[in-house]
Amino acid sequence: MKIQCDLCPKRCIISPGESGDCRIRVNIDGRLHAVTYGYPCALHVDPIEKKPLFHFLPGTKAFSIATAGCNLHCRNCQNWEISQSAPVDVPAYKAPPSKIVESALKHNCETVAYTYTDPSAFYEYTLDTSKLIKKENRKNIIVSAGYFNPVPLRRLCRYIDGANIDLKFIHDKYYREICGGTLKPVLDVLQILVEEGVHLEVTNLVIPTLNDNSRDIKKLCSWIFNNLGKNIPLHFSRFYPQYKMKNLPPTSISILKRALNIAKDAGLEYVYIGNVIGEKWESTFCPNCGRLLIEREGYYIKKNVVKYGCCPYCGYSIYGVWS
Amino acid sequence: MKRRKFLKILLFTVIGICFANILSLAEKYTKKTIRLIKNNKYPGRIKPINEETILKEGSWSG
Ligand SMILES: [Zn+2]
Repeated sequence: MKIQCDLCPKRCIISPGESGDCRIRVNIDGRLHAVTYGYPCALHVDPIEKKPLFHFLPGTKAFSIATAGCNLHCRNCQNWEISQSAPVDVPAYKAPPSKIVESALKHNCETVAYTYTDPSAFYEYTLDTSKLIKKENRKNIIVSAGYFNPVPLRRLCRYIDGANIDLKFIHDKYYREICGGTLKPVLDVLQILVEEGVHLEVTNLVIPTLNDNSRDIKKLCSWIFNNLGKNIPLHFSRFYPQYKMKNLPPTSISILKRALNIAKDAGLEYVYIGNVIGEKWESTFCPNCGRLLIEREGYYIKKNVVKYGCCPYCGYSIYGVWS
Repeated sequence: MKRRKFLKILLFTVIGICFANILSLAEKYTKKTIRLIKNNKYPGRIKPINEETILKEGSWSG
């Protein structure tokens, strides 16, 4: 019997003995099995700044997990060796949710991050682990392309404290051509996360000749400003040629700086440039008085003066999770 | 003539189905793999957990 998976907007109709587009969810005798449940292919202790989350417990550690497979197939994927492979071909650890909790506590991690590939594909594993983590008074974060259906996303939101979501393009055409997805569900996911009170930061990878023109950047920033709020941090990330997109050059620093200025002009309060080390665009300034609040060097926090979630100089409330 | 046309259509249909299968991203599992999945076992290789590797900063992006 064929079954339909309703986890992500692809809504795959899966024949017996086959998987959905994500390669994770398999139809066995008319029931869906998530084959990577409890079998992560990656376990790492990362600085939370690497996700990137800049306004969420700065300087803390995130116990980061991922399983093989993904529901999108981006031609520029940085983690394609694990995201674009079937679980059969990717070695994994045996780590049920309880083991993840034990390891996260052992390594003194404030949060567990469901990342690298996509928690929208290893959903049940994310959901069950995050429930246990909440019982330990720790926090959960997702790093995702945001390709969820609303119902499963809202269920997950009960246990998720923070999210960094890729808004890859502001045009549906590129989502279809580059990622094998569509734009609308991602925009919906961003709005749902804000509605559900999940701390949100957005990442946009600036790819030369595709989405690096001023008009698209302006459109993307205005959408964030109008639909999510001026205080949602936006990370412009530098593209490096890889996987199926080796024909394009790395993004020039001048284009990233232009993007940053467009975002500020559009009214966004916190804009950063990522994947570029040694620049001041990875530090946080008070949007009201302009003073330096959090000084970063790579993933290292050199200074953090945010006090009770406010600027100590002018009292302006700084968006984020600070304790 | 009619038979020839029918065979031609049949041949293209078969080729079409083959291509669609090759291009499809859906994974088709063997009986052995399905047995493993049914028993909640991982279909790929299991690697031992190494605490030192966990502590090293991840090489993956994100
Ligand atoms: Zn201030």
